[in-house]
Amino acid sequence: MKNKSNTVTIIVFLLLVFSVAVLNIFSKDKDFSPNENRYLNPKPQLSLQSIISGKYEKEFEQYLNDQFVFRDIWMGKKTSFQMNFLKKDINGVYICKDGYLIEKCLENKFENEQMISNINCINEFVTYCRQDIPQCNISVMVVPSASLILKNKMPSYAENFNQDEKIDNIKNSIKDCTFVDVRDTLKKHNDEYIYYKTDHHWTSNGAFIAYQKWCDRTGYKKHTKDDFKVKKVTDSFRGTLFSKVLNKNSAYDEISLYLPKNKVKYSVTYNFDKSKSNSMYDLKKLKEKDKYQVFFGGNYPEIKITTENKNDKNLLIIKDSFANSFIPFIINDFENICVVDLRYFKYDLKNYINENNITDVLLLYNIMNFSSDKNIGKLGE
Amino acid sequence: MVFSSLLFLFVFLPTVLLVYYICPRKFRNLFLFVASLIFYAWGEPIYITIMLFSTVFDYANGLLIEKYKLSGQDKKSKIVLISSIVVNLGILCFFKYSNFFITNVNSLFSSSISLLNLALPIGISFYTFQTMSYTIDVYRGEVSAQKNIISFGAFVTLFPQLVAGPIVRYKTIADQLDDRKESSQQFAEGIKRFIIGLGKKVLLANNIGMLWEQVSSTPLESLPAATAWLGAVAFSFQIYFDFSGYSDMAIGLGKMFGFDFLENFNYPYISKSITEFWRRWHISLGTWFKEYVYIPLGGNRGGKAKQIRNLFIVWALTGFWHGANWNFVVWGVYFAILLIIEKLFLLKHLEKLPSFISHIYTLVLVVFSWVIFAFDDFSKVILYFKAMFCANNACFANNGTVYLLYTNIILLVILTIASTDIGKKVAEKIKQKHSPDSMSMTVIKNITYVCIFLMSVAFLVGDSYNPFLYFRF
Repeated sequence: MKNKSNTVTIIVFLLLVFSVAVLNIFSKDKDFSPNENRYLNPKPQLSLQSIISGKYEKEFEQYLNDQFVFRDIWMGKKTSFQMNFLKKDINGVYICKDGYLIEKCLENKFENEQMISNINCINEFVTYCRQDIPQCNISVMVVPSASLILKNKMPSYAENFNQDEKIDNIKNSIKDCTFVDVRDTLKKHNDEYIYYKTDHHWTSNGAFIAYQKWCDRTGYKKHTKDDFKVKKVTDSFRGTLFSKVLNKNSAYDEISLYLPKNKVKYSVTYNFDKSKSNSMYDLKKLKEKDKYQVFFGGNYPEIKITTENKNDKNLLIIKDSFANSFIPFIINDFENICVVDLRYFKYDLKNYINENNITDVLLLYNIMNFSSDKNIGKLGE
Repeated sequence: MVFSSLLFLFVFLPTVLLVYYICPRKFRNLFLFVASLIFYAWGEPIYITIMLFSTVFDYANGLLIEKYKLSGQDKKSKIVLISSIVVNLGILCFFKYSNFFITNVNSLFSSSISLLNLALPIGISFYTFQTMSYTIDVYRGEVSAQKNIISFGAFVTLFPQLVAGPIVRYKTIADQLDDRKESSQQFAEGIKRFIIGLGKKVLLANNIGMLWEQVSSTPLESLPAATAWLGAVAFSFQIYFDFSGYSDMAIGLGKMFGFDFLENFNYPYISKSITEFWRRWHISLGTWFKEYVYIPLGGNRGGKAKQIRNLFIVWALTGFWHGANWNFVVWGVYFAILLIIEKLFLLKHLEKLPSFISHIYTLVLVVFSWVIFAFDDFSKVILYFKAMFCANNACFANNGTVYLLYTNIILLVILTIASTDIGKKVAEKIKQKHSPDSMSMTVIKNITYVCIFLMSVAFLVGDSYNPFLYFRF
């Protein structure tokens, strides 16, 4: 009888190990992981030199890990185990109340020095603009993360970096331009759907609330919700934070578009005229994993929106992806809107400003990007 | 390569098992030798040369020592032994300690000798100790020299215990090397032991390690006392389950290939004194130092003063063996002092005390020892102790403390239970009541092992999974 139990153990174990091993060999390699938003490692090239240097071994292990069979399912199982163990932060994401997922960033992980350097660069940039374009309207908006605005949704006692202190710091250090502090107005609406549950971005509604505050502070013409037709385009969006935990019980998000009732014609060119579109929306992206890309099809180094408005107002937006859902509200108020994403923009910005007769500037960043993006340094050059 | 990786579990292990059991018996050591070299070379191919050198050098030394001994040339055989020890320690010192020595010389004489910054060859602390045990035992006449270089090579490089022990002395497996009978009984035990070890490492150690990682990376000046204690306890669990998990995997793998290694851990955290703790913790290392350092120094013969001296030497060396930093030496001496105090008078009193007091006494001192062990930078050790005793500017506890406690409470309970022999005792009780080989027991046992294995794989896959929050370009 003893032998029987042993035989079972041996057979089960060998079957498990060998079947996974064989599946790994025969399963087809994937190029890209939509959930991880990255290219997966391909099988490395075998050469004597790469073996001796250890490069082959390292790459082979990365390849094996990346192409492991049922990778996303294993990952989802891991999350469920951890949640059963009362774990509230998994893979850098807090599992919050009402189905919210919120990015975890502790105080000691927050990049204070980069933030201060970025503030200085922005100040230099503002000084430059003031000299070059004396009448320029310059505004800066730092979008808080959900961990501040949706504090009530966070797991009990969970900590995050002191976001209020950071934004206060930016607010007090940015000089000679309009700082748009959207914290209070967003907090006032924190019972509404202003951040996606499974993505780090704000919803169109959240962006709209911030937009109104922006108008109040800068004196631009303010549209109300009645000026738009709100159209829900998907209710099956699972964003970047979902991708980090792959919890199969996660909520689904809705994406809504704000379409102006007063339709002004416009055209959008991408990447210095490399491609052109007559819509800010790329509805094809709703079929993909990252549905937030419905706004402008994602992030481009440069986007220019040319409208039929004739008011000689040309707005430059220096931004991260949070601006993508903000721009649709202001489409009727400028002649041209030039959108620059410094992460990918390789052109001389000062030339670009002159060429486009910029009259207004908006810097729009989420606090996380504001404090970590080294490319903001390009503004100080 | 490490055991707790997908590469090992689903490429290396199945391949090696398959080929090993297809191989005719006489080629099995050769195959293990080659497979172990591949295992070792994975990622650090260059250092394989040191290991091959060690193998050939001590193979020759063993033969020479035996030859001179048999022909009565004791002096010559002693010279060979000494050269073997000097070279082995030389290799170890050069690769492991050269940076440490240079740094200390530089700061002592304010010289500026540049650092070598050598990458530490994996497992070098273990295999140099193993080969030394071989030549010393041959010299002492406790084993006969290995005539077959392949068998000897298999002993030195044997991949199950290569990376993190246990330190297998040659005499333990001398007979098994040349003549072992793999059995299904032993193979099944090996599988179970391996899975237990994998679970300890991947499910327990790695998860509690996240708590320690978070605590130790907060600025220590503002670390609340309760969090500091929680972190220290977490690290104590992490290091035990990590290390003993690795030993379990090694012992299990050994069994799969027909070897029986000695146990390396025996529930150290149930000890009632530091003396007992060191009889239960990293047993193979303790045995090594006892046999090859403490006893040759005279051990406890020659009076109290000599014994105390010997204990200091042994424990300073034990500490230093763990790493090339002063904190490890302090850690060793810390234990030397505790062990001496216990030997001199405390042990008698501890035995009379209620057992929960001697438990607490032991555990608190062990937790302190891990704080010393945890930080290379000694100023951090001091800051951490300050935090534990509220001697910094922080409060006793904050929201973070509560959060870390309640989100880890289940894990902490499991870790506590798994640190004791309760599980083992319950299993024995069940065995007495039910026939251990009844159908239901077979099913339950096997399902448990499969679950632990699958959960571990899920966590290993999870480790390799790292989404980019922002955008690709």
